[in-house]
Amino acid sequence: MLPKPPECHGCPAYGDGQGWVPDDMKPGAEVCLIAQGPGADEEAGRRYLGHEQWEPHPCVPLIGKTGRVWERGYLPLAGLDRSEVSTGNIIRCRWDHTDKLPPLNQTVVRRAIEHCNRAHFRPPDSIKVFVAMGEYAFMGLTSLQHDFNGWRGYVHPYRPLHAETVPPLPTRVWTPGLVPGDPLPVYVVHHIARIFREPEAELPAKRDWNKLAQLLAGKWPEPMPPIIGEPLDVWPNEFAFDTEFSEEEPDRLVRYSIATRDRRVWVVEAMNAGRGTILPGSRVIMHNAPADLPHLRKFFGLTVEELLALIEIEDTMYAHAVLWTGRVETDDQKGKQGGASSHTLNFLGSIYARINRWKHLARIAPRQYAGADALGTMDAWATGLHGGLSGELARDPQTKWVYENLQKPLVPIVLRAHKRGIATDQKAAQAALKDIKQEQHEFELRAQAYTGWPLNLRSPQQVAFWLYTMEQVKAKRAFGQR
Amino acid sequence: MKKPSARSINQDKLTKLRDSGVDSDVLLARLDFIEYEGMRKALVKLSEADRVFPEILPTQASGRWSTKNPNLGGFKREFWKKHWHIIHPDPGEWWLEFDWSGIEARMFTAYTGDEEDVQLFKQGRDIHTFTCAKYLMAWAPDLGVNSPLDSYNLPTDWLNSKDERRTRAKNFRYGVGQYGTSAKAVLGMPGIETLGLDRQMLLQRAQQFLNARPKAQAWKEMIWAQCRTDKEARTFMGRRRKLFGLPDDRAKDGLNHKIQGSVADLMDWCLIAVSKEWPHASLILNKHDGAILAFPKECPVDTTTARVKALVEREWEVGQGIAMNFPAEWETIHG
Repeated sequence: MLPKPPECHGCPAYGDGQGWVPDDMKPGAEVCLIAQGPGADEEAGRRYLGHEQWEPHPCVPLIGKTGRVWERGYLPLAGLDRSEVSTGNIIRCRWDHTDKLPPLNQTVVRRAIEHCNRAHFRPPDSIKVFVAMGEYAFMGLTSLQHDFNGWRGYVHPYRPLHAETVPPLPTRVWTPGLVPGDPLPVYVVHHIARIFREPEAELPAKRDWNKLAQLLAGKWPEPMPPIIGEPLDVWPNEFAFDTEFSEEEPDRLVRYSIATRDRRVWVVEAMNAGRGTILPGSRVIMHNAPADLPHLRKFFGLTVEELLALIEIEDTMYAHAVLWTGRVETDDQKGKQGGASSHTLNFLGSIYARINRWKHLARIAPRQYAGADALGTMDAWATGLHGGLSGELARDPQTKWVYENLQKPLVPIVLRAHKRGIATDQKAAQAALKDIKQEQHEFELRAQAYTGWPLNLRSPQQVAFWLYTMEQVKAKRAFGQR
Repeated sequence: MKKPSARSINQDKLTKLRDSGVDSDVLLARLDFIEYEGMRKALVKLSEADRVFPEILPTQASGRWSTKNPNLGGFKREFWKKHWHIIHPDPGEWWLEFDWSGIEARMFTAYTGDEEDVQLFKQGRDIHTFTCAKYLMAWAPDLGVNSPLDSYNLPTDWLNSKDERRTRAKNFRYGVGQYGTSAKAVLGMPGIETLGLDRQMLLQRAQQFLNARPKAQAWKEMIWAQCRTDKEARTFMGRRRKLFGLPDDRAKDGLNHKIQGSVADLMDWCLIAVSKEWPHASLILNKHDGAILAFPKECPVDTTTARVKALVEREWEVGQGIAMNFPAEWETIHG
């Protein structure tokens, strides 16, 4: 175990002054991977060889079990080996010699990251891309505490937390290197350890490392094309379509956007949207078509049924749900865009889109956002990485059959069900509500009788305290143990 | 799914603790409370407006549907029975509700094809009472599928579908027969000790149950092996699920997908078939194993119900060359 150098004095993570793991910067390397913090192996100076075998090794990042998985399973997907990558940690010691860092929202973590990186972070000039592995590294390299899942699979401008001044975020779909003086890109990926906890993260993680090769080759992300604002008289025979509507009045259209395979993008404000012509047999690609179809039909003076009889639709959300069904709702996803795996357009963009992230621009650059929504949908369907969803469906005829026959035909059913709504009996609902509240009150009384104090069942803290501190509950596994 | 922290009180974690046999009134009360909280939130929305427009997404795991704003699908079956009139048909329409009975057990039997279970289902027997009498409690170990109910030797305090022992038998069928890896699964079933059987007896009865279902055991082994090596599972209609994680987790998720994904496929197929035949019908609500459909008054109740019933309960051959139908409970609702 290495002693911490004098520069560590004053850091909230200083502890007993032991256990420092310096960065492993390689002169000439173009990629600099920053992970969260060292593990026990890195701290102790031993490299994991597999099968519970270790060998002595200098204290450097990513030589433990996680590092071995990364080096063998993920790094080669980018066409790289370890000698070509500088590695470091955003905090270069183990907090109190444990693997647990305090939560990201605590000031003490922020202070430790700032201190550690001012003192020790010296990336070589050859760096072209930083890779932020996990949310602590993401915060340290971008100054963003939130929305790690939203940025995973995209590049964010390098705006380190420890910098004296942080440049403002671009108000456009950012393509690194497009504007002279642009900061370096920070490519955001899952921490490998997360895949151990959440196996569904394996898919995006593998695709992210695969995409790093394209980033280094300058093939991804592509610049966002210029936006055309004039409405169309005759609509293209294949296009991705998206709408922005008022949050207060979902029926009131604000603007719509269109993108074609040849990457032409229109964003038309509702006030300019006139009546157009759509060609029979046209293919329209949407993400969650039931939300867009009611607006689309208005441009041609048709009912939804008439429009559906005239055109062919594709739905990227429905297609993705068929191809990648699984556990998509994670705790991380609640209130945010995208968990380890989800069917949101932000997630699909992170996998398929040829442009960088746009979903954070809804308020600050709404026209860019709208145009990118349509282009991202077209990429997700056909023109993006991996051949898009249509390419994946073509490679799996059985799934394609399910999409065509069991999933896509649900679009008009779902739309009709939503549009018509359900009549309620408010008095009956109020009576039922009273019943439910009474039941909940009785649950609480039951818990209070059991504990002997006025436990609040709504309070996660109180319930956790009772279960884990007072009762010390643990899962029981075998007959006779209970 | 992300693993919760050690002190998490999220629903999944608490359910696992409960199912592992943790006996705490606070745990149980919190679980009930959470379940009712979802219903309470939905009811608040229903009580504030004379019409709701739920968002429906047929994009959940294994093809399941979700309904939110409000989450009408989250209401418990008993709640619907008592409060079904909180939503009602519009003038000029009537509703038809169906709810598949024991569809996952039937689907499993359709895939596996063990004669005893196939016949029990085909003859409309209560499989859980049969399981209880013949295997778990062994009041009538020589029962056959054709045996009349009075040969089950049911005790005098038997409470039919509400009997606790029948519920244990149902869990036994799912936990040991359908998803268990061996007879030992019976020992991990919550509350099984309340039946008064000792460890050896439980193991013996579970083994007898499994021995009577050799096809199911062979089928499960085959599916688990496929899921471990292929890292994907498919329903009989072809819906795939890519599987991640450790081999045993893949096996478990894959088997779940075969059953639950197939049920979701049937639901989708039925709704599409109904919408093709009655373009003016509409879906009101997709519930766990059932749905409510609205038909215009012009559609006669008797003939429409009979035709929809024929679609929903039709026979499917999902494997082993056995055609199995999927009966449902039916109800019509008039405004």
